[in-house]
Amino acid sequence: MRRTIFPWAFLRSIDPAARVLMTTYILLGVVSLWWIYRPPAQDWYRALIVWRPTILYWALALSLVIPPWLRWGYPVKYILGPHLHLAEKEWLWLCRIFALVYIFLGSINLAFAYKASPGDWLDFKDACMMNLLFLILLRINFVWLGILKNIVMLIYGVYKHGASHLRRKVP
Amino acid sequence: MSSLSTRLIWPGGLREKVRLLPTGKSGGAGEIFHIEGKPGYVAKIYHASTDLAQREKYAQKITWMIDNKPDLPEIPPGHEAVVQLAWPVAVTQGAQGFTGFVMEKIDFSRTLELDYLLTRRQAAQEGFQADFGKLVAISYNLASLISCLHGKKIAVVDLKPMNLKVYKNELFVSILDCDGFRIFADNFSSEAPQVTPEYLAPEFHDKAVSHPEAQDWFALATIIFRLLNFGVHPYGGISKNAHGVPSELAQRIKLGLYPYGRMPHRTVKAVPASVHEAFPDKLRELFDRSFDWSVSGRPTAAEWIEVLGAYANKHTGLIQACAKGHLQFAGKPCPSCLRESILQKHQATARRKTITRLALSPGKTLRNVQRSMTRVPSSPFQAGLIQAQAQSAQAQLPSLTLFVETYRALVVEVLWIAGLAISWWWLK
Repeated sequence: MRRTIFPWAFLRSIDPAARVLMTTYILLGVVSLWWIYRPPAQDWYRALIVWRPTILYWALALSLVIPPWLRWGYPVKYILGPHLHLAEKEWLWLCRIFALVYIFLGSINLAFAYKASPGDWLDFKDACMMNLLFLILLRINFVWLGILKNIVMLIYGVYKHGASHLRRKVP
Repeated sequence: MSSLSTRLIWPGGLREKVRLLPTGKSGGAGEIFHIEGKPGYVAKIYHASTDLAQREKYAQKITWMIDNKPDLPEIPPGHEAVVQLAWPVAVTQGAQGFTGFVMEKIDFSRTLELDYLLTRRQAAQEGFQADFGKLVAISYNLASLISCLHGKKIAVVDLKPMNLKVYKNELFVSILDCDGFRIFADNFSSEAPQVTPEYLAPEFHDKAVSHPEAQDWFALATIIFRLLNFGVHPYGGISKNAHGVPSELAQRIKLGLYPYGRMPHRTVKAVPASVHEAFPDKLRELFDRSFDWSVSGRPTAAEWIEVLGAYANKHTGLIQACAKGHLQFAGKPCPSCLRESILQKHQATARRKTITRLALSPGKTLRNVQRSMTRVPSSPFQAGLIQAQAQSAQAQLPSLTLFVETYRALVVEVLWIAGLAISWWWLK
């Protein structure tokens, strides 16, 4: 079963747009781990804290603009989840809108950080966290509940018929 | 058609009035009847719509055939009831003259169509357990029959498995539709316009068969090759390059795309199911001479008799039993074991591919498998693969589909949550 569904055949089946998004996040994740375990010097630390949200927003904006331009697909599909059924043109416009919003948020983060008071900047950052909460709520409703239902059905199937019906019969 | 009365005229002029009873079997030229009181014979009556000129040609041909029966291979004592040729033995006459002919009846309950031997499972369903010893004996008997006909200046021309019957116990071969043979004797000649492209020699495609014996040698070699190679046609190869090869066998024959030679072909390769590597060198040489354009001298039926005779004879020891009890050519790998291993390998690959496809797109895979099950497979090998594919697909659905879908969704969500955590770190 391992060979069948994870990971190479599965990864090969992933849309190039999703692969771009995944690569962006892998890079961001590696940098995060690097900075967590090897914090930069004190004089760099302030700049890192200020630029961190902007780097994320702009990196996301780039990964939303480039794949549609190269006709690789629409990464916004993978941010919102598979529950939305939109036309290609609508996905394209959604990508562009998300990219614009991220560029705007990245820029406004810098403006708040350097022009506003530290308190206002922290409030702005907290407000931005609400975006993540919105995405989580969307995901819970449309994806995670579905997965939970499937898991319950599978457990019920195993309870009723035993695990043999899930076992692979290939030599 | 209901029963009808007719007059039989036997050689020597003996006349007899009989009643014909329909058998329900009818062909392009005529209909077959039982003869009341003569269980060993049947009559073929040409259709009433046959024009007079054509009927006259039939009459001349049948009369010549009755007077010139070829000397057939000897039948051992105890097997006298074997009929090797549905050869005319008398003419039938109606009110307006010649209507057809009488021939010896081939007992269909004791025979099976040679076509069935190309698929071992089909042969087994007909009560015939094929092995290489029997297949070589059948090939030898067919070559002997063709050689006898050629000795009498008669050629079959449309020689193909569907026109041949094999006696299940005696392994003798019978040829049907003898009135369609080509006769090129000194005192008589007749045409045989019917051909089958899959068994037609390359030089006769798009033109008349000018050398009927050469055509029979080609068809004979094709039938023997298919018999020994589990139904694989000598021109049924796979393209080596991206340009592909024609899908029709007739086109492949014309282009000489024979991939089973001892020298590899430039553009085609053998199908994976072929066991030609397990044939003895002498047989491979004859096949190369039959199908490979670069090798000259198509073997005659007499040459086939000479080579096959040695293998058909039990006392020569040229056919031996393998460790599993299959019969094989001495000094060569066992073709049956080779075939089994090829089939098992392909079934395992097909199952693995099916399950991988199931994991990636379950609905589409199931549709494809169902579609391939409803289609008639082009070879027994494909039938085996489809069966394996279908079993693995059906055994795992729908529970596997649900499991795979859930698993994949979970993997995606884990990745998504990891992305969320990374985003959170960068935003905080």
